[in-house]
Amino acid sequence: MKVLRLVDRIFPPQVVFAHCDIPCGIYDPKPAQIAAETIVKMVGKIMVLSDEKMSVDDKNACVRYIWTKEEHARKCKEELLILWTDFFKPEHLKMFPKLHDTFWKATKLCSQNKQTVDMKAAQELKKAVDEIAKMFAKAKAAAKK
Amino acid sequence: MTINPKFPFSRFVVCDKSMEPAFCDGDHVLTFNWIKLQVGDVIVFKFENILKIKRIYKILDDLILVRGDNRKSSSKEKLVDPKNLVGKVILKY
Repeated sequence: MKVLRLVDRIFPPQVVFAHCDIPCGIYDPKPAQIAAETIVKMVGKIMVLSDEKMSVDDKNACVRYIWTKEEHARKCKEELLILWTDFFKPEHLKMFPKLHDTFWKATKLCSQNKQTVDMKAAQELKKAVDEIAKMFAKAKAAAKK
Repeated sequence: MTINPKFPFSRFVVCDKSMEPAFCDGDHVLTFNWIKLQVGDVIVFKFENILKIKRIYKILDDLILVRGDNRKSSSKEKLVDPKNLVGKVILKY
């Protein structure tokens, strides 16, 4: 073992990635939709708390809501990026001319929802993700024809 | 299914958490590249010039089905062409 580690110090080994992004053909906008819906819920809960005098339990709850909002915004962005870069192909641009713009704005909204507690931004994200889900369904249906 | 690389052993350092708990980020592994593969073996293979490490889930006639041990991080099975195999992990050090 020590000998191998010594060899590695002199001749560093190649990096092998455990996480695999091999296109497996399984794509679904549902995780992004659930994440966007969760963000709307969390923003609602945070806004109710901030209007009241907060107890320790309320503070704890607030942190948990913020953490959940943050995590789902990250997840939403990740899921959208997978759909954008892996599922949608150049040929889909003919069917959806605003495809890139829609995804770009939606992923920007994910970041905005991390940074702010804004119900308008949360609703806009949900709307954008639902629009992407519709595009996904149309593209799937077209592929079956 | 056997693999026929140029050199019998290769050394790698693992990146990412998809093979946890067996192989964690930063673990060093040694592969033996002249071995018959079996279901359950952990293999290193190339995909689009990137080296990957996964466990064999199923061996088909001309393809190998692999997946990560950490199901939270790696939930999908992948197909590997045997010609892209590098070797079987025989030692973590």
